Amino acid sequence: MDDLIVTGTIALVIFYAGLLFITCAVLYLCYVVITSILSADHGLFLLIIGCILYAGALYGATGFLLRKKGII
Amino acid sequence: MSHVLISPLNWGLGHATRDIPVIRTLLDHNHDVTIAACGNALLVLKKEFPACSFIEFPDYPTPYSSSRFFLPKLAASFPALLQAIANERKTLGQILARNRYDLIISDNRLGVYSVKIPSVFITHQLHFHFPLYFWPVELLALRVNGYLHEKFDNIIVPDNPPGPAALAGKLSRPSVEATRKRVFFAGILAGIERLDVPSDLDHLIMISGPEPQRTRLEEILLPQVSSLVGNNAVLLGSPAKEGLRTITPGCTVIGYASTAQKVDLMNRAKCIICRSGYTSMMELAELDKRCALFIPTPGQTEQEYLSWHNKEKGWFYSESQYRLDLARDLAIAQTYAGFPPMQKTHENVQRLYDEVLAGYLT
Repeated sequence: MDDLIVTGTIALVIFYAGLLFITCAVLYLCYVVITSILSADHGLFLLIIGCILYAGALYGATGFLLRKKGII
Repeated sequence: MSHVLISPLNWGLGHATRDIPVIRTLLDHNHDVTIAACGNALLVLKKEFPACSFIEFPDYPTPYSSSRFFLPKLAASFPALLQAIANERKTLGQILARNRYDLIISDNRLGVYSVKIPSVFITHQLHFHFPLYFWPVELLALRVNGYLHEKFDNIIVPDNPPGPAALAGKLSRPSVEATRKRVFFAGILAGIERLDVPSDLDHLIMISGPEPQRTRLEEILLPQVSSLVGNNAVLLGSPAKEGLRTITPGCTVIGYASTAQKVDLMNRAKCIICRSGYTSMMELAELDKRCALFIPTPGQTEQEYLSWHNKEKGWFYSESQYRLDLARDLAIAQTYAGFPPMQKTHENVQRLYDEVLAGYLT
């Protein structure tokens, strides 16, 4: 089979597996946040929100820096 | 005398039209040229070069979206795209088995290369642009592009080398080693020529691009045309409306224009309003136009980047079709400087032939 097609198929499988993983992680996080709100466990809720905000800021800052430096 | 197979992608006419000067140069040097394409790209090249041989060669489904959601649709269409490339490889094998070729020129068709025949790839996008929140995808796409470029002997970029005069900005900047060692910056390659005609048209509005966004832009622009002063023309770019010609005081609306008509109108226009496709930009550069207003196709990240880049450089103004106010935006567009002076297609294509293509041909 053609090298391009084999590599393309493997790359696609990894790409979609990655998408599925991220979707599951987001859904799980939503579940944990909702249960923490319902159980009135505000400590856990704040911890999760804090982690999300921190990760989001890190992600955004990395993208911003990469663009600023002309890498992307 | 050598035999060249040239195959442009049929996503709009841009790829086919920028190949016109390349094909013309090959024919001028007495080489045989076979054109393998499909759809409108094939029709245009058949009209332009009736003496060439032609092969119907289907390409990939266009992942254009009717909404702004271009990226999710593109991601969902990857399996179909890969299947289409697999079919393309199979068909190419059959084409190559039927005839002897000395060189393959692929214009943005990823599967059109051979390990046995020298293959060159024409593209202005060495670097894909994505919205900032997709930065990991943009990094990944650089590697994917590098991998794809390894399949070709040369990568021909129809743009000036990276620097202040690069029309495509970061899009035409090689970022990985595999691309860097194969790249050749040819300069602009436009399928149209400068004509000695008077500039008697104040505004030329070219409504083009994939449906349904073409119709959407027509609905937005036509009601605003009456606000323009002077002598104006609107090209609807819809083959279904061929023959339509509505003339009102100060404005002529043309359903569909032939290439010759379009070139004449573009030469006569003082100011051009069009989509921010890269081919349109090369045509403006070729004609030395100083005034234009760009309207990017919503969701097409490449056009959105090119619009932003032109505005940032102070070359041409652009505005989203959702916020367009023709009279106001044209007044702003007049304040922009246009592209810096650059070498034109005639010299560029000759240099491309001498420095790259001739090396593979006898």
